[in-house]
Amino acid sequence: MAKAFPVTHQRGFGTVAITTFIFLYAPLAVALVFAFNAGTSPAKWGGFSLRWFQSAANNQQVISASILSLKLAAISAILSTTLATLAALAMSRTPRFRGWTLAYSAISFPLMVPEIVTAVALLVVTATFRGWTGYSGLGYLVLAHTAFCVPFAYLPIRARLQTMDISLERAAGDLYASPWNAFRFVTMPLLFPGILAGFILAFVTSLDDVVITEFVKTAGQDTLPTYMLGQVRRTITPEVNAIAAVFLLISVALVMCIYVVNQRTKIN
Amino acid sequence: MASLEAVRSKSASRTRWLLISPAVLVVIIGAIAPLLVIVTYSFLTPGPTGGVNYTLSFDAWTRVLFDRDVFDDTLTLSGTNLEILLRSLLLSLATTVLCLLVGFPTAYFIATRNPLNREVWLLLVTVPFWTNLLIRTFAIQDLIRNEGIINTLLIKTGFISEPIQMLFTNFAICLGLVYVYLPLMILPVYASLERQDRSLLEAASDLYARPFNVLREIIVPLAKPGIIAGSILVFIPAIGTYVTPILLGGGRNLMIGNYIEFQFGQGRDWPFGSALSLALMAIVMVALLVYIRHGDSHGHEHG
Amino acid sequence: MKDESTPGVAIRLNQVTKTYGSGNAVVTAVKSTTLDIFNNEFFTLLGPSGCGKTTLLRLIGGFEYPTAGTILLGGEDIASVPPFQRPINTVFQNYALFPHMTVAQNIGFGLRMLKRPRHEIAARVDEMLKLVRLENLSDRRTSQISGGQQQRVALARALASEPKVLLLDESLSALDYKLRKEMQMELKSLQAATGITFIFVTHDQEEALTMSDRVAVLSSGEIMQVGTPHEVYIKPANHFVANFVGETNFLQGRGLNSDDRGAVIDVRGVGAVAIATKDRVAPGQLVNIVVRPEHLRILPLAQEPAGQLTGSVKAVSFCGAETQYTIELSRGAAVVTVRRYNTPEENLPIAIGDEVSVNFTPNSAQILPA
Repeated sequence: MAKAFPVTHQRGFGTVAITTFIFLYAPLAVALVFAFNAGTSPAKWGGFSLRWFQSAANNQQVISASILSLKLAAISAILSTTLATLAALAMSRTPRFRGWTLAYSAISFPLMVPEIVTAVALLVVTATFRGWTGYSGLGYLVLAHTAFCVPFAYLPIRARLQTMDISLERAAGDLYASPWNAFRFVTMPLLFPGILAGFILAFVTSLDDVVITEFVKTAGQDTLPTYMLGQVRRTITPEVNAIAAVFLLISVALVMCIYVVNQRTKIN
Repeated sequence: MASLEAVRSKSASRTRWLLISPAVLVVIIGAIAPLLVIVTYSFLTPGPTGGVNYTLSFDAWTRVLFDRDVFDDTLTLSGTNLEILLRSLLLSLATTVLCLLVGFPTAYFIATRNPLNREVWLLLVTVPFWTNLLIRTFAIQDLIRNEGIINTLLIKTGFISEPIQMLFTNFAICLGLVYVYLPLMILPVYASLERQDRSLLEAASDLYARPFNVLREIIVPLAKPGIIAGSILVFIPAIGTYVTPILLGGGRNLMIGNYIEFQFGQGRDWPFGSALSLALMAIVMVALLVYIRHGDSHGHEHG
Repeated sequence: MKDESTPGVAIRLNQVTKTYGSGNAVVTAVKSTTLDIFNNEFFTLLGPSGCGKTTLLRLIGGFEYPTAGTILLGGEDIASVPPFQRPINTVFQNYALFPHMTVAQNIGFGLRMLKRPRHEIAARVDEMLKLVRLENLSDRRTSQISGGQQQRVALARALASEPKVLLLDESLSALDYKLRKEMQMELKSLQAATGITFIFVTHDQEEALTMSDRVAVLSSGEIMQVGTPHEVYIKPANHFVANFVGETNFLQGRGLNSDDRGAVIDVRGVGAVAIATKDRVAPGQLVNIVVRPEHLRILPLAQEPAGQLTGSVKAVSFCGAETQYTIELSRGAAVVTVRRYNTPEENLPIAIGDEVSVNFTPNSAQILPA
């Protein structure tokens, strides 16, 4: 006999949930396993091999695309996190002021516009600018990535600031801390997990982006995602799986990083 | 005294805007201004090799829904454009509904685990979400191609003799979109379920509601804000998708995102592409309005 | 008397046990409890927190299933019947009103689940609204009404389908003092008006005594005593009941001799004290004499010769209608509490430090095994 009436039980929900988790992980697991496949078939196992990792590592295009991806993600994550931190500090610590809604709408604007729309809009603008100035460096990509990363960096920082106890800063003020010291020794350490989460979110968002990059880049500015998208018209080799495996590892590591920091610094 | 206050608040306000403006400026330059350019372009006429001619015209907007007859200038509903719009709408709606059907039970399952295990299940939802979208789409592509593992297994076990054509179909696009955006449904629905008061379920059971009625009368209505938030979060990127139809839909199954890209590329019709982009924006805005109206206003009053 | 469908019995618990956990970590919430609750009765489960009273209620409501034993409703074992099939409804501690429904929708919910015709539901809801005097609030959301009104909605909702038994889980504890007093009266009259068996859970002994037809006092998962409020108060079955229900003084002693009319107890540090009791006390047996504070009479020693007990006043507190004195009996016998009504006639002033004589009549005290 059951011990209690299972008031939360809904028939079939457990089965659907487990199926969902299998659905979420099976394709990734298959891709991961076949990254180590000696053969070229996506379905037939030809023995264990690291050849696709080697071939990816020896592919000059893959290497330069990876470097550009990481460079771009690092620069735009640092820039957007810095800007977002400043804005969040100015917008969450003070009572609502005139223009708050406007500033907030502006910052979250990139979240509301479909990527493809921003992408073609940027295509039009950057094409024009290239014509006018003759400059065709990384600047366009950095600006575009920073712009769409700002809301992603902003949200976790703001969330953290909202759960933080403002009385801690007041207490620091009572204890003769100057505003700067109160900020440095009280606000900053408490805010750090939010900033880290914002940075990682921005970094991953930039690393992930394919649509906007595809439209803003010029020749020779391939990131890893745009390189892979370009490969789609040719025959796909498990080399893509090898790259996927590395990407997967990076994202799991980053998620774990956020998870651990959140667990350690939970504000009650 | 009052003037001192005023001076202080004025300087505080200046500091505030000094801190806010860099972020806002970057977003204006990198997202808002280009969109305004697009708005302008949608009222111009196409240049011969891309670009625009600076003559005012509503032609691009007209062509979003209508075809202009070459000979007598009459307007008829545009079959091609309507079909693409409709397909995009249907595919993204189907994606949203499928995500809800699969995501709600999953979110409920997680919300009814004990608190320690919940975090682990949630982590399992977020990991795929943090994985590159392109890679996840490739993974699906590999799985469902004719020589992929599903067809191979089905043939080996004798269920079918010829591979089923799954790749490059509408089904494939839908599957890919569900796969990619499912976590965006699960997370907000979970958030609204997790807050639910268990005693409400007991009260409903006490008042003769069978488990299914508890679900229909209590659990789902109270999770409405989460359901709406999740649906919007899935619908918006799904209708504007660009990568998924390329990888899973092949060349024939275009969605509006690809059609927009086409106008700026081979189509060389920037004004029409701009008008299409803004039409897409309008659909998204309508969805967002629905969210603002229904997504968060109800259901919070008790929590 | 013990046949399966005794007329007049609404709920019969038969050796009901409920344990949680397994292996070494088994916690027994309810220990082999047997209990009859009658039709049309206001029955209260009274006990401190963790005594198992809420578990017992949840077992009757169907939210928990017993580890062993049977629960009979009208002679039928419902121990493992789910709550949605039991004609028993609950008023939850936090009311558990559905926040997305109006007051009227809340009240009609049970009937709607029972698939009653629409007009019948509407009529019944109106009737219930009238019963709890909320006619003008029927279209409000439950978040827009006060705590007392929410309480009434919860009541109306639980009563709407005319259950055989109504369970109330600490239902008044969230209300402030005045409202609680009002609701106690209202509950009592509602019970009388509807004729439905009420099973009420509370930790507040005063509430239990005021409202109930019968009370069961629980401690650590066991029933200590079942009886009318009067019985439980005047003749507590054991030390726990005496202590938990109302305030009590205990005097420890040994039996000297006893007969049909009473016993003589040798109270430590005091001497022989006569008590009227039918219970036999063996010579030398350790016992407690139980006397309620209001049954003790005190007088200043200066004005009266020493009575049964003497002591000195340690504390005096004025409580409005009465004054409470804490008295340390001489030779360290015990510290007792005495309560005196503040009537003008009896007002011989007694202050801290005064030596007093303490008396009680043989009839007002009781003997319990130590």
